[in-house]
Parts: sequence; C-alpha cells; structure tokens
Amino acid sequence: MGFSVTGSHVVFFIASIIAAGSVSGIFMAATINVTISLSERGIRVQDLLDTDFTIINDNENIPISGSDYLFYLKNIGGNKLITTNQSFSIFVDGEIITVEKYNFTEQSIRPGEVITIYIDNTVISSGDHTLRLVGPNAVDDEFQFTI
Amino acid sequence: MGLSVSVASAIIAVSVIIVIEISLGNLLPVVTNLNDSYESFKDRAVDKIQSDINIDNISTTPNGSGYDLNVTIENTGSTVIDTNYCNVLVNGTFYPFYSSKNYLYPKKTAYFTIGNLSGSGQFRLKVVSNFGISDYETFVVI
Repeated sequence: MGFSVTGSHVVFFIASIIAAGSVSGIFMAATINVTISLSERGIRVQDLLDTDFTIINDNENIPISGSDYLFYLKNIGGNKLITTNQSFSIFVDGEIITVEKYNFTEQSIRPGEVITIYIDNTVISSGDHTLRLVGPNAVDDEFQFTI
Repeated sequence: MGLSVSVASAIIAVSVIIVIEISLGNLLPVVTNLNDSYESFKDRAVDKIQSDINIDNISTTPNGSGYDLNVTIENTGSTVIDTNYCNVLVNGTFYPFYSSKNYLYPKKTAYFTIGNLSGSGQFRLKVVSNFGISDYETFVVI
C-alpha cells in the first residue's frame, strides 16, 4: 500500500514534468516563429518606407538613342535603389514590357542620383502614353508623355 | 503532488522568461530601425511638400560656335535645396551644369550654367530639385 502511494506520486511527478515540458516546447516554438515573422515583416516595411523614385523626363521631349527611348529615373528615397530588369517591371499603357525590351545603365543608384532606362522604341508608338514603373517592394511611379 | 505542481510551474516560468528574452532581443532592433525609417520617410514627405523652385530668368551667352545657357533659379519653398542633386533637361535631354551655390536657401537664388549648347529656335527647359520637384520654362535662341 505504501509503495502504491509513492509509486503513484512518482508517476504523477514524471507526468507533470512531461506535460510542462511539452507545453513549454510548443509555446517557445510558436512564439519564436511569430517573432521571426514579425522581424521579417518589420524589415520589409522598413525597406518599403526607404524606397521612393520618380521619372523626371520632360513629358513632351523624350530623348531617343539608336533604337531606344531614354527615361530618367531619380532615386528620391532614403536607401540605395537596385535597378535591374528583375527588380523593376515596366508597363506602357497598361501592357507589361518584356525584360529584354528595356535595360538600365547601372545596377544601383544612391539617393539623389539619376539613372537612364533604355526602352526599345518598338514598344512605344507615336502619340500619348502612360509609363508605369513598378520597383522594389511594389513602389511605383506613373508618367504621362507624348512621342 | 505539491512538488509536481511546483516543478511544472517552474519549467513553464523558465520557458516564458526565455521566450520573452529571445523575442525582445529580436524585435527591439527591428522596431528601432523601423522607427528610424519612418522618421526619415516623414521628413522626406514634409520636405517634398514644402519644397518648390521657380525658374526666374534664362539668358544665353555666345561661346564659340555654340552658347552657354544661364538660368536663375529661386527657391520659393521653405526647405534647403541641395543643388548637387538637382537636374537640368534641355529639350528633354540631360545636361551637366555648374551651380553658383551648393545649397539654395528659401527666397534665395542660384545661377545654373550649362555650357556648349548648340542649335537655334525654341527650347524647353526643365529643372528638377533634389526632392523631384520641377519647373518648366521655354527660351528662344536666334
């Protein structure tokens, strides 16, 4: 009878440690996952706040070089802007331009600097158009111009 | 029974302390950086709203077979404009220029000189500030 009481106490003790350990493990794993997600989300929001750019062309005088129209992109954000065909998508009158039809003179620009975008003239006919640039973190800028 | 409850409570309490420590260690730097970025974003937005420029005067000076373009820019906003990050476009094309001042204070003027231009007729000038604010003006070269 004495052994039964002691044995049951030991069983309860071990069971309580296993239960507490399991609860702690699940709680820690869940909380750490949430923390990591919040950190990543915070970094993305930070990048979004630091990203801003604008097209500074003269709407009525788009320069041309060889078979490309030239558009000037100015970094007015707070961070270096990555300017590649992968980081930027270009739409002309709502139609996306395939990546081989445009390119940038540099891979990145610092705040305040200007970069030239070369867009193949076959994708822009004469008349009025809207150019939409969608950059990193889906920050975008629209520009109306006439060829 | 009392010992079991105490040990289980202690295990859970220790895990809560560890989780708080890890969470704070990860989140505090992110929140601090986010706050800095937000402050910077707010400052840029305010500067952009309060920034404005005006092309006051345009004149040309003969220079060999071409001419130099002299542009008077006035800061009509209430922010300081860094002329090193301004841009000048003549008929849509980007030209380097020399500025008489590095910093253009409110209600003050600076002189931008664009050298060795050529051609005649009517031209369109666009000046862009460091915040992306711009002004247009036309001029004629005979």
